[in-house]
Amino acid sequence: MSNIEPRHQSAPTGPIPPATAPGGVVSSLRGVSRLYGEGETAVAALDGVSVDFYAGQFAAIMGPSGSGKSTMLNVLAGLDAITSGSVSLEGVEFRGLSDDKLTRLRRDRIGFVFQSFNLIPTLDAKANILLPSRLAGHKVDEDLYQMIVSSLGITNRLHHFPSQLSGGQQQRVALARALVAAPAIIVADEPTGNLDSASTDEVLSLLRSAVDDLGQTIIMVTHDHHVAQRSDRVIVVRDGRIAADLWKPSAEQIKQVA
Amino acid sequence: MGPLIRANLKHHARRYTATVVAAAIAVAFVAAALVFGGALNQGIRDQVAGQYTGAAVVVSPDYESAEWPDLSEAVGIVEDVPGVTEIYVSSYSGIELDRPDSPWLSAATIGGQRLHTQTLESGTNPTTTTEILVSDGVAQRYELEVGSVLTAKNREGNPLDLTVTGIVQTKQQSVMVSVADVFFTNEGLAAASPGLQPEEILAAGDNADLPSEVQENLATAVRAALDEAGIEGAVVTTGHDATEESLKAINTSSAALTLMLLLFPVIAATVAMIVIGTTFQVIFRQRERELALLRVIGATGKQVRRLMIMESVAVGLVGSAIGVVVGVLGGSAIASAGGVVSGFAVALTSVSIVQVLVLLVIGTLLTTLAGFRPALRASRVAPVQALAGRPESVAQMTRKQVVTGVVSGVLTAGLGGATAYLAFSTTDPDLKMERFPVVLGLAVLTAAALITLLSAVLPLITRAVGKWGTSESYRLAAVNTVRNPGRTAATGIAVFIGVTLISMVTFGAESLRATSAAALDRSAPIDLVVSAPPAGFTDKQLSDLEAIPGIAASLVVDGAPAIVEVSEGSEVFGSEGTLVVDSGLDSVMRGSTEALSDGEVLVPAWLVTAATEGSVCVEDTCADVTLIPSEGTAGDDRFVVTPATATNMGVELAPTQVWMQLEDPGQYADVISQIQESGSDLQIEGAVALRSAIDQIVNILVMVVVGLLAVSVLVALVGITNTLSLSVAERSRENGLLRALGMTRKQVRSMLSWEALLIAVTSTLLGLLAGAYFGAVGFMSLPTGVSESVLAVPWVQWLIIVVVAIGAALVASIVPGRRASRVSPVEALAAE
Repeated sequence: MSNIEPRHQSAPTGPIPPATAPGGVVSSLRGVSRLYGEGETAVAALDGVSVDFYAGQFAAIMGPSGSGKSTMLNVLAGLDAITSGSVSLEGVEFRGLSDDKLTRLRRDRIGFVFQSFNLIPTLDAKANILLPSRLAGHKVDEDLYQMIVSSLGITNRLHHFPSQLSGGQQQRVALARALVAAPAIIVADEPTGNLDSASTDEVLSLLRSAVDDLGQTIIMVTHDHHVAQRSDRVIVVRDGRIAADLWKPSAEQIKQVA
Repeated sequence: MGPLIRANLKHHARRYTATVVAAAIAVAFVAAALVFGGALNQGIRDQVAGQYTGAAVVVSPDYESAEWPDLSEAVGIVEDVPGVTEIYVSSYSGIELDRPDSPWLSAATIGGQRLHTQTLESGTNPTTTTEILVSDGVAQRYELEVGSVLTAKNREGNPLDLTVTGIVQTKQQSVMVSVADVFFTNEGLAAASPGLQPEEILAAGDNADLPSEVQENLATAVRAALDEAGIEGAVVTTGHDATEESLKAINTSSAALTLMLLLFPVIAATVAMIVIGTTFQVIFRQRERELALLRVIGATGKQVRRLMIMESVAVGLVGSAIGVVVGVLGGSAIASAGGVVSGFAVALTSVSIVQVLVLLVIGTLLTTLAGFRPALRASRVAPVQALAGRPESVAQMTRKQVVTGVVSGVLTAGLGGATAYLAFSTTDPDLKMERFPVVLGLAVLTAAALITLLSAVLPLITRAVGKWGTSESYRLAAVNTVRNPGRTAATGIAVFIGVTLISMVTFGAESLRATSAAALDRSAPIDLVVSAPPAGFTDKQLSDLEAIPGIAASLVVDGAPAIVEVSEGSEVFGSEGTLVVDSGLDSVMRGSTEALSDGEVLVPAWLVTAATEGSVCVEDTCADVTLIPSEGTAGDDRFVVTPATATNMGVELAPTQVWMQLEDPGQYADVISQIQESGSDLQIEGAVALRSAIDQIVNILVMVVVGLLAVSVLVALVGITNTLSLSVAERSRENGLLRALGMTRKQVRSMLSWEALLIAVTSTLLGLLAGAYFGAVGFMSLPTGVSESVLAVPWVQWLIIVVVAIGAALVASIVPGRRASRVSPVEALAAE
């Protein structure tokens, strides 16, 4: 893949490939290690991990607390530095990028949905959704924006502040913010961690349809089997290593490895 | 709890920096003012006591007696009293130096062995009437040395040529001591000041330090001698009593002086209280989790509160102690460097240990008081709530705030309107005098209402200003200023108070300058008038005058010596002067000439009070004309006519004067010396020296007052830094999220800078407006007796204030901005 500005790449169009036959590699980790601390007391949150994520795929990363699953997500989203190895997004190698370049890459090509504290409390829903593009000084595709907010069912919540929204509604706004920039990947860190089961279901359906209908690539960290089961691929991390990499696993299979 | 307090102070020392700095600045300012005031008083006391050093008897005129007493005859009598070994006659005298700026030097006689002994730096005492000593200050200012010759004029304008025989050392004495500038022999002073009357006669006994009884005996003898000679109206006291009396007299005025000196430090301290309150808010908020943990493990709310208050006391004590030390040393240094007292050590001793202790206690108390509310709030936070992190919501304006805003808004408008009406509706000085206390009271109330209003609406203003922004950093900064409206308001008001005071002073001073300039434009519109010698200007003189640098405009005016005659009843008065032709005089005048038609003559206003008939004569040619009184153009002895009037008279005119307008009145001395170089026979007159003196006085006034007020602004800046630090601490997760979502470090930094700018610049602009209002009201209500007050905006100074505010806000946002931009998104977001 050429090292051109990711922004100019066309988003996947046409028929969405089935999850079992994914598009090209979007995000790639090669021999990635992430050590915390120094010398003898250093702890490896990631220990030589190599993995590829494919376009149009909904991948779930699972693992117990401290397994390194969140570190993996942070690393592939360019939030955290790595100790060795290489990380790339759409062929762009993170190593050597200045903080500003990496920030712009995040802003333009990566969407984020966190467990909580997703939204800036002083901005209303609409301003939150448009925040990354405003930071970039870009115009948002008005049709895409309309389509996303209506399909997420938040059209009548756009002028509410985060404190006036329920947890599920907040996650929808966060998802809308991630989708509206048509990023290369959306990373979601326990996006349902703070929600009740009904809202969890809703949010998962929305993530699912973003992949199925819009061809979005989503990488999600979760510790919940049921949540993981809605994905196309489950990667299980343990002690900083990939313990299993299952494509379209059954509930049984997940239970066994996680 | 002791170990915990110690550990906390040690651990959080850095966080308390802002608090300590604010407290220290305020306390140091108060301490310095106390020391300076004390030193000043000490200096004055030394001077007062010093003038009687060595005097056993003091003879002074009895001002209560009906007739004005003349002690001239008493001098000889006192001198002849047995036991009197030496006398000293003090009097008010002086000479005018023959220089362009005609400075006035005070003159006295040289002292003797025991009374008013002068220490000579070099040279010897004068022996003849034309020999003098000069003070070292004067010697330095006018570059004099032993042997130099001074040309001067005495009070009656007679020239004096005086030779300097020695230089008196005064540097070690206090500057406030009114040592004379030049010293004559007794005979010399009498010759330089004919008709001079003694103010006081000091007499010494056979010892410089006689006990009271001996002084009393001598006083009795002097009294008897004066009575015998029939001299009335003289009061005879001992040296001791005279010293006591005069010290008593200055006690009241020195107390008033100290109070006045404390005015500015008290303003700074008020601003500091506001700032210190917000610093505590920052610290306690940052430590909310730590405090909650204490609560969880069993500390009661009361214990937490006590911990906070004890910390406030400790911090207040440290800040006050630093402030006292810095202030006392600094004040002493300033006092001794400024020559108020003879040395650093003397200045140090002018402030008492009790004063220092009281200041320390007050500083600590006020700091603690400022920390009380934040401590109360911190201790009220429920343990769980704090551990979980407080849910953040956008602060909405409460009903109470709306009510406060509306009520204080109405009050501000009403009180402000009434104040302005009273100040502007009269020009009568007596009425102004009568109204002044009312206007002052109303203005103070208006200020209070305005501050209350701002505390409610300032955050709304900053948010509204933010609506016009296009950059996302700017818009975020604007909404951030309303998150904690109370804090934004407190920070802004600290800036507002400082700026309002500075703006008020500069506005008042500029108006004073403009008003006096306008008055001068009318009464003395011509900077310099150079008059030709009787033989007329030579061509070279004219071209030399033309070429002098620093002249904005000059005009060669044709004219001739003339006499104006005006009849009053049956009597005819004649007045000599110079006829000048108005050939575009306006071009070299400040202000403009009075309207003048053919057949009319502008004459000095002292000559006629209203337009009247008269005649003007040049040599033997006379013409009947209408005399118009002129305030400025005609000066003291000019008769201004139109060219047509001059032509009709048929007299021969030649260049007689050159009128000049200077580029910078401050540079007039240079211009005058240049003019003198082109001919010593040229006469120079003009109002430029007065104009320049007024400018200088206003400038010095503004500089001193603004300098003193700047301390308040400095404290307010500490407040801005502090508020931003709080923002950064509170929003570290949010800043982490912004970084994750693609905000660059630069954008984070500029968001913080915008926040600082919004608060600082909004408060500054509001402060300038308020300062203009209070300055205008103050200036208009002053019973000055000026017929026409001119209000003027000091644009340049205001521009400087705005630039300083912008610069300071940017500087204040550097550290918080850097900290915010370094927030790691991972760490910030992981703190769930």
